[in-house]
Amino acid sequence: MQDTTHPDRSITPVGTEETTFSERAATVYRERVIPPLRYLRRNTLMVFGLCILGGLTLLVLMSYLFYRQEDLYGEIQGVNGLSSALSVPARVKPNWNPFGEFPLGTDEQGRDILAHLTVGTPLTLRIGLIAAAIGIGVGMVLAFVAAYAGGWVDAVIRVLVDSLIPIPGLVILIIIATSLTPGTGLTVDQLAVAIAVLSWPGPARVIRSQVLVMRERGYVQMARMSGTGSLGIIFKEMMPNLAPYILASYVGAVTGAILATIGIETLGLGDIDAPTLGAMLYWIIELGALLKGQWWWLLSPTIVIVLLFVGLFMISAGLDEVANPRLRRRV
Amino acid sequence: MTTQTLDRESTTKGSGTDNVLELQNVSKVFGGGLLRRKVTVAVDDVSLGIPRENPGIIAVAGESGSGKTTLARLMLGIIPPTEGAIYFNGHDIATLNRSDRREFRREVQPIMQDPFEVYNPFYKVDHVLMSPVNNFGLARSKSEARDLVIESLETVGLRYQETLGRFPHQLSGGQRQRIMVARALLLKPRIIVADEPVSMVDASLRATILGSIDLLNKELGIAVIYITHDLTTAFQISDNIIVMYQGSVVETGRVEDVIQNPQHPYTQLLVESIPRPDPGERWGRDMASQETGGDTVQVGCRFAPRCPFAMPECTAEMPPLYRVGNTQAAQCYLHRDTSLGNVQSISDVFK
Amino acid sequence: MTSATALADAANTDASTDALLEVENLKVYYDTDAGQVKAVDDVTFTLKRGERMGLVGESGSGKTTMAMALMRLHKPPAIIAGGTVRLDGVSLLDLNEEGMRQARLRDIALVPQGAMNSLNPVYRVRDQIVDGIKHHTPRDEMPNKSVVHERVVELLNSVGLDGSVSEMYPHELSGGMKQRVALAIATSLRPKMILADEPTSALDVVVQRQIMLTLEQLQQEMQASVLLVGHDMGLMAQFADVLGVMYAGHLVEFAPIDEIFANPKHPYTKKLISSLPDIQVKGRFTGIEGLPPTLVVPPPGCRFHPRCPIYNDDEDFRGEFLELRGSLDTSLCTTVDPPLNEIEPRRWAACHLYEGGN
Repeated sequence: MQDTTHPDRSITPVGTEETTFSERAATVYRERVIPPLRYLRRNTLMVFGLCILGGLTLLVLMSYLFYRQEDLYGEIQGVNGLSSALSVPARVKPNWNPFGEFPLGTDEQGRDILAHLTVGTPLTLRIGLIAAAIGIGVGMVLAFVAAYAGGWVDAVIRVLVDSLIPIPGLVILIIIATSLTPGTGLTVDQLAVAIAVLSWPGPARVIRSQVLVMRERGYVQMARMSGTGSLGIIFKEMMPNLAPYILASYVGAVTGAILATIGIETLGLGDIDAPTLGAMLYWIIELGALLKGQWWWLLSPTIVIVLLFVGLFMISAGLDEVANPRLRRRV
Repeated sequence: MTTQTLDRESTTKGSGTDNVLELQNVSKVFGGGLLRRKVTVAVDDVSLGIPRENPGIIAVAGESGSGKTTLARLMLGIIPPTEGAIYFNGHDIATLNRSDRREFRREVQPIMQDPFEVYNPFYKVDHVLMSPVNNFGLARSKSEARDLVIESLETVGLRYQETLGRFPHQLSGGQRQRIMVARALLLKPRIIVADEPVSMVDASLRATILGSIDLLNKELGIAVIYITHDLTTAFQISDNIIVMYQGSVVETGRVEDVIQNPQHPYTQLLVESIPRPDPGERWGRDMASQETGGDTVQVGCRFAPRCPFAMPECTAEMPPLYRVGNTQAAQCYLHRDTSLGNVQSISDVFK
Repeated sequence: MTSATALADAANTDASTDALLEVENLKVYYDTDAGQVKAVDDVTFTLKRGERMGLVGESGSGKTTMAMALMRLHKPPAIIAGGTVRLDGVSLLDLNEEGMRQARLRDIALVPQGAMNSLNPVYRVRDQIVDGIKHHTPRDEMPNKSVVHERVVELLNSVGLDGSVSEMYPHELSGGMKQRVALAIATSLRPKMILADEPTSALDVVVQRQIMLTLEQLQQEMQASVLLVGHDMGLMAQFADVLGVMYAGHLVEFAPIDEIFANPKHPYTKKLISSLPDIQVKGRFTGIEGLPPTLVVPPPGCRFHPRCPIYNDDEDFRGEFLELRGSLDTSLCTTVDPPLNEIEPRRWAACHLYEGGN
């Protein structure tokens, strides 16, 4: 605070070129890692969400690496690697409840339910992650093009987005699935692409409006006055501040995509032989598991799906708080 | 002077070399399209030249809605005029080629009102100083760039140890605004358009910031357009003043003349309403000139509905800018008979 | 002067000597991640009935925090950490929530900063004025509709607005008109005290003058006290009878307005007044060097000493302080936080310069 003697520049070395890598790393750690961590302490919603998904991932991973079981033929099978055979029908004794030798029981077709979940959870999650990534990517590009080009380009994109949003995605997916691949259903990857095609309008609309607002912000105008070009403004000035929004829309899109894939597969329009969570539900309904008192068959995938959605929702709500400072609790 | 203006009008280009920036009959109208029917004339027929030599500080004063910020944005090239043209070094800025446009960008720089808004919260304050240096190629090496930045910070009275490497929220409003002055200094532009640079800064720091803006003008010969609602600071730092009311220039001239001897009823009302820091000299108790909440679209003098001297002709046609002294002009029919002629370009009455 | 008016004047002066608002050792703290911030630290002053007090300070000096705490409208994480606030003998800090709610508007009313945001956009002006009256009148005592309507029109007229404004929505009004409506709401129950927090900060000078003159008129007519919080010394000179100056959470000077302008005692006040630009003489316009301190880690001793022209022995600033400076033990400035003392009748200052005399 106090006006002390004027420091001599030659005594205090300041140039960035003099700092070593480890010093720079320490600075980055102090300024870019510690503050977000400190912030997380207050954003309990996000922390809970991350914990739920993290816990689920850990369980799946543990099971993937260490779960071993003897199959019908007396061979030790694990879900690890090539021999994920326990999730395939007719490999174990059917209809065992969880109180016997199988931790989560077995289903009517002779699959080990724990093995099935261990393989199916990552597979379903993967569809969501891929579909949402494609959707957000397309949405983001279109949003920036619309907001930047303005005029008729903007008008076309906006009309396209606004007319696609109210169309129920599930209906379109059902039409695609039944007309393109009658009988066999969509493969896992086809399903991901189909969902992606339908998931870009939402993010495109949100991001476009954010870009329009941000374009008028003082720092963007200042950057333009400093001779920064359009690409520089998009990537250097806007992107870092849009990141929380984009991340929040991404998590939202992942949730939506997972919901869509489970829905399609439960209807039997996906690959019913793939060990996904949706296909699992399809068989549970198809074979009337509840009527036959096979409650464990339904219980475990339900718990996994609920945890997945609750975790994703909490992360999404937590990110909303980061992106929208008005929701942020006061310091 | 008047004949020269006429000459200018007959050519398509600006007057050439004696003015860096020249506004010729510039108007800006908002609305009036299919969606927004309500028309707002934000700037109405302004002509103004900013000379290359001894440009001085020009204050643009007015209430909110007077069009002063729109005028600033026109000068910065952020928005195009609806009518008239703006010339930079004699070229219309609407039709500049790539390299001229780049030069214009660099030579006309803003200092904005909100000293927080202009910082990208993601970056340290270094970013706002380094990006113009990099983009305009002001330095050959990293260390040269750094020296330049440090030098400009020190010129505006900031110690780089207390500013560089910090995030904007870690600095005070006064520091942030002084960094913006340092940024302008770094670019050494021809013109700085400062839009209410101290209205969001504490009173005790205003003098320092305005002092460094003054320094840019006196030491480096940079023309300063000081946009403000505060007549006292305008009086203190500027040489000439333009008083605006609802888009039109009601009075202009040498700042001492306009503020100490105002000739337009609106300027008189403004000066009377300044809260003087002297308990012995309190405001007049008369409550004349109630504001009107009504529509602003009308013919004639915009101030007429509030004016205690309004005459029938005031609402019939807009009065011209009458020259009321060597260095003063007022847009009011009260001066029709005593005036020394009409003024075409505002800068003709500047000292 | 007739004897009747002289008598009335005498009665007025009598009334003006009794205290309406007594604030003693008020402390308002914020708990933040960075530590405890003493936004208002040990503030004591007394405001008399019918008096207009100004409170100035830089942003972050605690002036608004203190004003809000007087009405217990301070927002978390701010907490009142100590002290007393008495309005007409009633301790406001000891009232329960319902008691405080009743006291607001009826006894102490707020004219908020930026009336644009304080009016509800979906209700007519009339409903917003009636709302306040309704909440402070028992249901069976509520007068009938036509009486209430008359009262609303009367209130609007008293702030210089036409009665027809009562049927309008806030978006149909200009900024100045909205602020007038806020004045009408604040005075609807004839409070003993009006607290105005930068009521004209978003308005233009012409409108500002009109609003301030209206406020003054209402205040005189109701014999209410006013606390005007702001940063504009010019406005204070035009409006206030007494002035309090806050710096870094402390009240550093408190005195009648003409005396404080003629002869400021605290070096900060002195600097503040000399930094005011005027339209008489050009070039007399200087700032205060340095920056306001952070309240998380305030400077030791006197919080102003790093910027103080006396402590730093500023050449241009000796003048009338020269003699006092000679007897000042400057080590006190860096070690002891000076208390607010009455150094002359009706003049308080918190500065070590004046401690020798008392």
